[in-house]
Amino acid sequence: MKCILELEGILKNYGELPVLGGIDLRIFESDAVAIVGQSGCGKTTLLRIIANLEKPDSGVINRFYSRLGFVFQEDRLIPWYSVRKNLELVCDDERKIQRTVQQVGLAGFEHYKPSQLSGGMRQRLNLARALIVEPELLLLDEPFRSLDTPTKVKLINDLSILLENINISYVLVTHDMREALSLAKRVYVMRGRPAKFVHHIELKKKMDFFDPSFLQLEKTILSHMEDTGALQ
Amino acid sequence: MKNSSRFEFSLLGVVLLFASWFVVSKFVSSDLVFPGPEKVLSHSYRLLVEGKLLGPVGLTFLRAFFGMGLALLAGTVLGFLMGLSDRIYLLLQPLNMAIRSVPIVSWLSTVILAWGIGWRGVVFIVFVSLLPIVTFNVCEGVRVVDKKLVEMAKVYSLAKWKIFKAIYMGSVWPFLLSSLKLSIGSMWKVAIVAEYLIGETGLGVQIMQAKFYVNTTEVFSYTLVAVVFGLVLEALFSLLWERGSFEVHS
Repeated sequence: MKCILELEGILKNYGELPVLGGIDLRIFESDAVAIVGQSGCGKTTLLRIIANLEKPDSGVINRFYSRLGFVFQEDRLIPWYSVRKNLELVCDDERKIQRTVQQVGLAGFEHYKPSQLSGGMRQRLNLARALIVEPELLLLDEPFRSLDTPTKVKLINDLSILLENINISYVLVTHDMREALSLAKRVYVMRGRPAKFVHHIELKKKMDFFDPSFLQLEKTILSHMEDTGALQ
Repeated sequence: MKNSSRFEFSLLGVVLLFASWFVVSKFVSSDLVFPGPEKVLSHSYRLLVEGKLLGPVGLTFLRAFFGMGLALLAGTVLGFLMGLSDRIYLLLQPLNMAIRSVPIVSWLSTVILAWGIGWRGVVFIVFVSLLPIVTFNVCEGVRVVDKKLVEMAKVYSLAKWKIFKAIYMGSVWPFLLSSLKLSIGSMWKVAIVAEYLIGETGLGVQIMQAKFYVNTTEVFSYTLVAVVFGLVLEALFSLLWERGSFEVHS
């Protein structure tokens, strides 16, 4: 399987504060990876390094993809642009815009501005913007963090089906086991100060909330996540 | 408050203004010092009929508008440069503050020596009076641009012109409109003062001549026209403001 991203020995400090302490990771075509860890452990920093928004202090990054999509924690939508114009900003193809709006369930809201949408709809638009560029690698930074539970569950289900159909590689960072186990086939547990991968699980398939082994896996991951060094 | 009630109260305010003016003029009882509204209105009508009103108003408006246009162009460029670069901000901010503090009369000798009496000096004075307002507002608009949006644009490798149009102009737009609103209020008054001091034609010159002949009623007539025209301009702009914000931000 073709490797599209390779990280070797990524180190990152913020001044005196060590954040990442030697991260190695390889992402392949059609990969579905989740990185879990407590809040403040450095997950977002790792995604920002992958997206080239930050430079590591040392380590090697090999990128073998050309198009990247990023679903940010906050929606980062242009507030004075409508749904359509937010998408037109990254894509000129009218058919793609229509198709993506349908895919994420925003049909009929094309002329709404972000402030007129609910939190869930704004995240759908955030996702649509990332998908419309047809990325080879999609980064998802705790995309459901600010949503209520029913919206979150619905969006996770929709996203899971959507990502299955379009068959792209993605890296999800989250502290929520349900998100990780529902969307990923490989789960990495990040812990410590500086953070490292301390455990990793390969799943045969993405899991359903009602899967009998779901709770057991959640418990295992949580036991690896326990760490007093993470920032709260 | 309901729209109809608001209109009634505004109308009542105008009536109150004219009533106070009328009472004060009766109290002063000298047309030479403080002519009443009935005299000023009838004199204004006579000036209009005789064709002495619209010409000066038009000339003053053209000069004021030209000066404001130049200030908007230059202020937008300077504001962007100052907002984007701390070095340019530190370099130009003292100059901007100095220009803002220079009284209009201090420009006179320079302007008269450079261009003599005429429209160019008036345009220049309107320009230098408005330039710091526009520059400051645009600079603030650029400085409050959401850096997270710029980061998003970087992730999607957006072209620079797209970033400028969608993020920077979008963020600066309300500040630019605000400076335009302030400028429209000021340009009119500044243009009249400048014409009064160094003009050849226009409302300011008409006021100056009326004052020279101790025709206070005529001074009041031209002033009334200036006030009404200024208010109409601001009201027109307020309408455009609402529509303009909608169009740019949709």
